[in-house]
Amino acid sequence: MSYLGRSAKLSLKAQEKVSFLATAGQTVKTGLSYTPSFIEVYVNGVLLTDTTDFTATNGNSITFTVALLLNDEVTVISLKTFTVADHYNKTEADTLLAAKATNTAVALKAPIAAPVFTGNVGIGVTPEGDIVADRPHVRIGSTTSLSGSNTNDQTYLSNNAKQVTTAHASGWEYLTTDYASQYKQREGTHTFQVAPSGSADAAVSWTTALTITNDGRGLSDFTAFSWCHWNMSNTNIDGSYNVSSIQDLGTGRQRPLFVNNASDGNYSAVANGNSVANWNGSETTVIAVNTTGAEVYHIEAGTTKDATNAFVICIGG
Amino acid sequence: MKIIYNNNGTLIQLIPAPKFLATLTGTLEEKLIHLANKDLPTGTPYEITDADLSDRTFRDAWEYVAGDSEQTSSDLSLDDQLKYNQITQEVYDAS
Repeated sequence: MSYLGRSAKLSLKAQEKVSFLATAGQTVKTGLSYTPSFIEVYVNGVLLTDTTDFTATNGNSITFTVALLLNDEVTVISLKTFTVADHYNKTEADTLLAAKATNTAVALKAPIAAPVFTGNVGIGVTPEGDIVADRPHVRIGSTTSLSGSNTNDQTYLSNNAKQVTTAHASGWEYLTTDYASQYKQREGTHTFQVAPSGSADAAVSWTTALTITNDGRGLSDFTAFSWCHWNMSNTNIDGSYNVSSIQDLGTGRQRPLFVNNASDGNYSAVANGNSVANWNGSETTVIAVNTTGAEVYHIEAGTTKDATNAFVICIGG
Repeated sequence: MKIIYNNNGTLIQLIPAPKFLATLTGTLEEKLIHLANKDLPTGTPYEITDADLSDRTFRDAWEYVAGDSEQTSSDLSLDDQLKYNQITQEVYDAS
């Protein structure tokens, strides 16, 4: 069967037509090529019924049920299947469309030169809704936070913590029930903080484990406790760490009192072999350590400490 | 501001460390009271003053005389004593 207005011999060979005049009593036509069930047979313009009027099962011949008459005009049309080169079939097209749908978020976005996110950003996680607005977080996975401030000089890299108020020390909560730790940069200082295990959404109470000051000192609250920056000329300890006060004894003796007492007893030593309670002498250097602090000082004569020439090394508990 | 108190007739100054005061809450006077409770023996009479005592020419000459604003140091709370390592966890737990 030809398409309307076109020859049946289309280049794609969607069908193939063979016509012949029958001989008297002919019942078989050989030399054909067809796909069983994809064949139409006409005799003198009348379409025959498959299996009733003819049999066509072997792909190359048909057998007529009733013998043909001489010069019966027989037309055999075999319908062909074909494949168009370089095309996607339905299965392949469905696969491509599904993949495209999956990657829409990436594929549809053009490169962004300088993106600005007004809120929090989540990588592999949805940022918690109670993170305080002034401390935007980049939340990564279940327990990592990189955060800063919109108004102050502070940067935090936190494990298992989120900031829910603007209080830089007390404004944190646990993300999950576990330990928490944090590296903080603030006012030119590096601070490493730790916290015991706590419940999710409970307040975190940080303990400073290590501080690296702006002038490069490393101060550990667990080991070398304190740093005393002592100005003897006007008796102040600005810049000192973990020192609560200077005790000026009025006899040339000054000593720092540390924030935290020593936990393992009293110690004392004198350079010239005398005890701390009997440090008489001249040009003597005295080292004294007790539970509240330590000092090294110089004696020029008698029992009077020379404040002018004294030098002090502070050792915390 | 500083804390002054008596030690066998000699005036002793207790000069606060600015960074320590910054860790405390309350007014400056409240912070200094906390410092006195921390760094002075319990029961020590003291005063908070801003007097200039920087002249060391006669460093032993200053004498402490109790004034109207004299206070007495007291114990810190148990929480603060534990915080400052003044008592052990065992003592704290037993209190």
